[in-house]
Amino acid sequence: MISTVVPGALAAAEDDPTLKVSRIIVGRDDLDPALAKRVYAALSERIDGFDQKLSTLVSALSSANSAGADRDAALSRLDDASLDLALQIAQPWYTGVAGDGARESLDDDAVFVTYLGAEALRMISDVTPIQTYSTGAPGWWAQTPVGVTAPAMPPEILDWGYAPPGAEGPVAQADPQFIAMVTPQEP
Amino acid sequence: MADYDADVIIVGAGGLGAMVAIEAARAGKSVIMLEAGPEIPDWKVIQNWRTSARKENTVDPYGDFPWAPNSYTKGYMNADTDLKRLPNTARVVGGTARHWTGITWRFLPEDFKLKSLRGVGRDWPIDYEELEPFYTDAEYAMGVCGLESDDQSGVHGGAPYPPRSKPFPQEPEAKPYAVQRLQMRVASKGMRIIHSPTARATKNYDGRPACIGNNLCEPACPINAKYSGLMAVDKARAAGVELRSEVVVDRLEKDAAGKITSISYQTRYGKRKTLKARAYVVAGHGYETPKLMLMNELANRSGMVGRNLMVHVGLMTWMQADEPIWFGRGQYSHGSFVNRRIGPHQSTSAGFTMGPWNTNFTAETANQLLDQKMIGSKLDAAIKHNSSRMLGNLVLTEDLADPGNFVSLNAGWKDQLGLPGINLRYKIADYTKACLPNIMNDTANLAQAMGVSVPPTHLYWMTHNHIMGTVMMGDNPADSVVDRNLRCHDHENLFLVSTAVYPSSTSFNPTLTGYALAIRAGRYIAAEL
Repeated sequence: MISTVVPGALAAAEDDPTLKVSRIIVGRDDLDPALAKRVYAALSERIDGFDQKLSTLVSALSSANSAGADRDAALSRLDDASLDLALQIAQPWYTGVAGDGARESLDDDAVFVTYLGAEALRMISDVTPIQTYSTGAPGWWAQTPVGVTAPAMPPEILDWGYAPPGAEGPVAQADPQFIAMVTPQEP
Repeated sequence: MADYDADVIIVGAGGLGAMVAIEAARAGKSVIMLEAGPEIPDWKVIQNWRTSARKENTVDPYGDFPWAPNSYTKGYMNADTDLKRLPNTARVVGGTARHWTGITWRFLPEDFKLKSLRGVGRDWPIDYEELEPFYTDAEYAMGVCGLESDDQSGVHGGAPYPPRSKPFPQEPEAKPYAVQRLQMRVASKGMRIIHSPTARATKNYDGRPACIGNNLCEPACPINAKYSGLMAVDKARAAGVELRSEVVVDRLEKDAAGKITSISYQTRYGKRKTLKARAYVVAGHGYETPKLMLMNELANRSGMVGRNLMVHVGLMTWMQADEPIWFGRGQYSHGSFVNRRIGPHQSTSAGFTMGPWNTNFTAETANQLLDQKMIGSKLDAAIKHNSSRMLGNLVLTEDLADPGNFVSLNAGWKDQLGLPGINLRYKIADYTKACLPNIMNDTANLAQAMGVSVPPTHLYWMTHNHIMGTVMMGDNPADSVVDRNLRCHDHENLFLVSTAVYPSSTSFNPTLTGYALAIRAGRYIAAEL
């Protein structure tokens, strides 16, 4: 993926401890300083003593940079408390939301941080466009995804009317091991 | 002063109310539509969704209004249920028919004769043949794409079913790579995934562009490739219908013979207005329609108003295949497995259907990995790996009309205008639970065929946002609320147009049948006036 360097990002990190640790946690130097402020605003509301904990995390990661092995080595040295904080900081960066958004009520404590900036969505957006707008023409999704080697399939598989051999049934009696695997708790 | 403010007054400006309005207006009748919620354009819904912290909640982007509380407004629904979530409704212009997925299966002829054929539930007072022309008209209004050659019952030997008087207005969309892979691999288990008809344009249709796979069918299609209730409202306005929004109808007056003489509403600011019409239609979906009847002690000779709540219990499974298939490319739904939909088994256990739920599960996947304390490059790699293999399977089970499942008034809760909340009671029936072994069998087949090697990452019971049954249709006034023409048995000029009239639920989405009934009711009412 082509990433764009955000002007001022490198300089801003010196002054913003959230941005500084986030660069190690996310593994990118070009994080948006404005998003870092949103991450701070969301988390400082939710986490008691956030500033103190953040300060400890800054110290623990002070010698690291965001590149591969160094990043992982620094993160692996964190004690339990700092690792928990790093994971909490990672959540809005990766998913765009701090907390767990309720599905069935308008009342929950989840906080929106970003949508288009969510790392988890960005890192796969060359294969699955971030929901809302794709740039393809109708039907692009029938093609083999980027980076995938498709197993052999008959060309008729593109037609909805085609049934692969065996598909007409009867439905097989499933393997008990797999039935156990997919059985939920009582409703 | 004129005797009437309009020929027809319709309460509820959702998709179904708007279809009645269109038919009446095109027949030359004057029509006023009254809607409790505000008008919110699609672009605003999309913006709200993108900035929402709760993207699974499809009501949230439509807003929460103190004068028009919705299913997810805190306190509004007082629920006694074993469901983990409630079927939701949106109170806005265009109604709940805006945040639908766009899936448009017809009921099958057998679904109209559930009691006669299987000895359970209820029969409809009309049959498939009678509704078929209206199904066709609804499909053409919505631009449904589908495949005529499919056997949508799974039990008619592969011959095209149900019978159709015209082809689908549009051809099916392209098939996602993920669905191609699923079809190829589940065939080894004797399972076939057929095309799901949907109201998504596959070519430009009636001013709508073809779907380009934005993968956001809910809460609203960003480019209006998907048909929505708001489009029906716009058509109604173009046909001359007057729409008043942010007005909450709370009173209907009747004469000694039961005929409705007036209707009145409060504006969101509490200002009251009374209107008169020759015919009145309530199209407020499955919660608000019975609520308005109960508030006014109307239509309830049978005691069935609010009862027989059906919701379509579902099961959502997310698991990891052993190859990259990349869910999230294309639309939310493309195909279904229908072999357990109908048959003699319905005498003792619910019919069900299931199909791939084609959204990308990346954010949830990331959350799950963070919960496992994964961080750094290991986290990055796992997100990519798991997202590429994540497979969503969604089950929808048939529901039976049972008077013990109901909505009623909750006088203990008041909205801004002083109107009551809703009690909801729903328990998952033994009839539903009886189909679990087959659901597990087929899901296990899917898992094994796709090389799933670890337990599903997410496996939970849910409900589909399908509300049915609460103002039951039937020939007998002693056990139903409306007749075959959706007229209240007790009130000759009051019609209830809603999926809430369904005597049976089948195991597929109810919306298309609602549109067909609404077109039929609109023509019937217009012809009678």
